[in-house]
Amino acid sequence: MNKILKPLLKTLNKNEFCTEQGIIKNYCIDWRGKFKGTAEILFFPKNVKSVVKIMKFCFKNSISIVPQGGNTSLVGGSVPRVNKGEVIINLSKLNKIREIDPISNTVTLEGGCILQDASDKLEPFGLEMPISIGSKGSCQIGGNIATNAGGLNVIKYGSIRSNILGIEAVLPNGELHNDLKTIKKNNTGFDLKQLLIGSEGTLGIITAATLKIYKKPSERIVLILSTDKINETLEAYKTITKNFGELISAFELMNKFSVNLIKKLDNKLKLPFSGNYYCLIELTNFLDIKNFNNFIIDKFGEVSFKKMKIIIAKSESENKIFWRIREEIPLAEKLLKNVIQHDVSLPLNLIDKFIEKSSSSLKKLDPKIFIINFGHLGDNNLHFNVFVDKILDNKEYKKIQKNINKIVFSNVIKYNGSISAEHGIGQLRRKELKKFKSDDEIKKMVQIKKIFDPKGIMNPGKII
Amino acid sequence: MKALVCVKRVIDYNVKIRVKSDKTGVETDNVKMSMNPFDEIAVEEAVRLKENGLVSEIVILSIGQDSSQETIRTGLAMGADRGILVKVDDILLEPLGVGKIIKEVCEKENPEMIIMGKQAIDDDCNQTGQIVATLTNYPQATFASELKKNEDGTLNVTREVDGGLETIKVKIPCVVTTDLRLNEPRYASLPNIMKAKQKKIETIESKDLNLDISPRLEVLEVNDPPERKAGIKVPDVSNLVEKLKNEAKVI
Ligand SMILES: Cc1cc2nc3c(=O)[nH]c(=O)nc-3n(C[C@H](O)[C@H](O)[C@H](O)COP(=O)(O)OP(=O)(O)OC[C@H]3O[C@@H](n4cnc5c(N)ncnc54)[C@H](O)[C@@H]3O)c2cc1C
Repeated sequence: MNKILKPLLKTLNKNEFCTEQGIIKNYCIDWRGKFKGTAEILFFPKNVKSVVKIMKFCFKNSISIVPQGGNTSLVGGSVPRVNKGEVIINLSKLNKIREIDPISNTVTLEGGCILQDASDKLEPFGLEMPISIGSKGSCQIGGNIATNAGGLNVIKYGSIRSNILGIEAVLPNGELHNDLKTIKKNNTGFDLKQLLIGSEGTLGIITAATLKIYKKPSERIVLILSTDKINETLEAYKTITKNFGELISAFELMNKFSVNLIKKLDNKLKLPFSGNYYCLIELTNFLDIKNFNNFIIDKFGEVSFKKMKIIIAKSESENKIFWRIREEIPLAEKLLKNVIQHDVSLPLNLIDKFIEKSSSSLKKLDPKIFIINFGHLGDNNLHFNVFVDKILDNKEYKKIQKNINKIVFSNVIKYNGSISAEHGIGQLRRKELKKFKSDDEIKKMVQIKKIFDPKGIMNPGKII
Repeated sequence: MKALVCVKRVIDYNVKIRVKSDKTGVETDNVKMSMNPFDEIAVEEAVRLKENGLVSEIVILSIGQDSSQETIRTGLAMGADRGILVKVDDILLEPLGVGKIIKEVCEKENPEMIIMGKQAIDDDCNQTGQIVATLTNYPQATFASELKKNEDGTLNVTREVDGGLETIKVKIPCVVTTDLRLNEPRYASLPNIMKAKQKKIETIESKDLNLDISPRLEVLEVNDPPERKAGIKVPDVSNLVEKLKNEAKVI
């Protein structure tokens, strides 16, 4: 392979690729360590020209490409498969912020920009990114767009799709698709960028994008609500959304088991509550209300919040502590073996039934099963992760995984939900996708894929 | 034992401070304010003493504008009994002025323990406790990291000093200033926050106290700390070694 690549490598900068297998192998494992593949070479293009060069070459020589951002994919989307002669294009060096426009409130940045870095750059302007997710220190804008990432602020600003004004991408044949615009209205036929959003690297490489950005509010107040039963949580959700409406910037659910996990990781963290379900609720002062704290407390006095067990952060330090509890759950969960994850979405009014039904069936399957349940309740998005507290060999793991998925996904379908809310399909959910979507939908997806990628070289083996 | 806890409303510890463009001070408009964290520790300590039956009443005192009521309410939500707000005009109050006001309040309230943070995180003066002790002629136990009440009514206070811990015995009434490790303040629950709304806050106009609290210092200029240069990323180990050798000249 290196022989074939030689003419290409000659035209690239020396630090735009790596051929050392010792290093490449680190880029072939996914965040959870569940997918391990192999790659012939690892590219680090520093500019769009280099991306075009690499893509043209690969197209000509029918070499398969895996686009890679921060490699935080939870569905094995960002790593190659085993021995398929694939190459990785890692975008981390394509990371410039091209323009911050504080008048139209837009930012244009390159695909490899790390989300946290972008947020930090906006901070001095009093502006913020429309998205915030647990992996913000590693994930990149290109990866966020390629997965249509959701995260902690969807309730406030919508998912990333609703915040993208323009995209620049290199298509599989090396053609540069440039649609970078800062305008908010643009009805000119089919909106091709919508296909690139959520395409998980299967249609092209996103090299830059223009996003809406927002005035950073001056303050927020974080509350923790605890309840014993999930239907009480839903009742509280109704009351709180009714009363605080547009001030709510996050509404996150965590069950007791998931919160207890973080004690292992961070034993200094003082956990504030008792109960079986906790919600983290963030109220943000979007309206510049004077004495926001008093305003919130007065509101709580007005309505019948009497029975609710709530604590209210006294300071930004406590706001941060409460957020840490929520954000550390995935990190704590990573330390466990035999966790079978599900990122599902359900109609709000059926979430309690889903949880009860699935949990009781799973307990029957094996009493050593525990549910790590957390997620973005405000977006009807549950991470319903099943921990099997046992030592399992590979065969046993596969078997129980199959049975668990069957229970969870049949309930998702029964209650009219989605098998992947925000993490995407990648390699992990390919098979389930076929069951979940109609034949006709799958057929149309395949046809669209063919138009962009006639040779099937873009991230093969992912989604469809 | 009656406790007077002095609390200050300050820019929240986690807010990025911005200097005003005319360099006369820092931006406080539209900035999140909270109770000075050391004062929060003082409130917590008083509440714990009350829960253990060692303190009979907790009064929260704050000196500031109307907005400081919110800060007093926080203390009441943590378990204090009532509040006093001494209202000052928009002048920059210095520790001496604060000390004089606290002394006046003490004369009226006769607390046996005056407890406050060792310093406020905004001006970092670390003077108020000491000044109050001087003006009232009470003993002082500063930088407390542990507090115990003895049978004879005296307090044993462990202080964080250079190179270790020192335990001293003070008679009451006394002034205690709190250090970070004294305790971890509790969270405020909704029912307690609601109860706090019913508790009384008395307002006193500082003018009516007839004190000279005018500033003795003149602020010439307020500046940002020098900006730290951003770090750089090196692509590989050999590049790092090269840079350490030739640029940083450390190896
Ligand atoms: C702790 C943790 C918390 C998370 N929380 C959330 C959450 O709240 N919400 C959520 O939606 N997700 C979440 N995720 C999943 C993941 O972080 C997001 O999907 C993220 O957007 C992926 O970005 P990335 O740069 O790491 O992309 P990668 O993982 O590198 O790639 C993801 C997919 O996008 C493709 N891709 C990457 N960059 C490009 C590009 N420039 N052009 C074309 N295709 C590209 C890849 O081929 C792959 O298919 C979380 C992950 C972790 C580890």
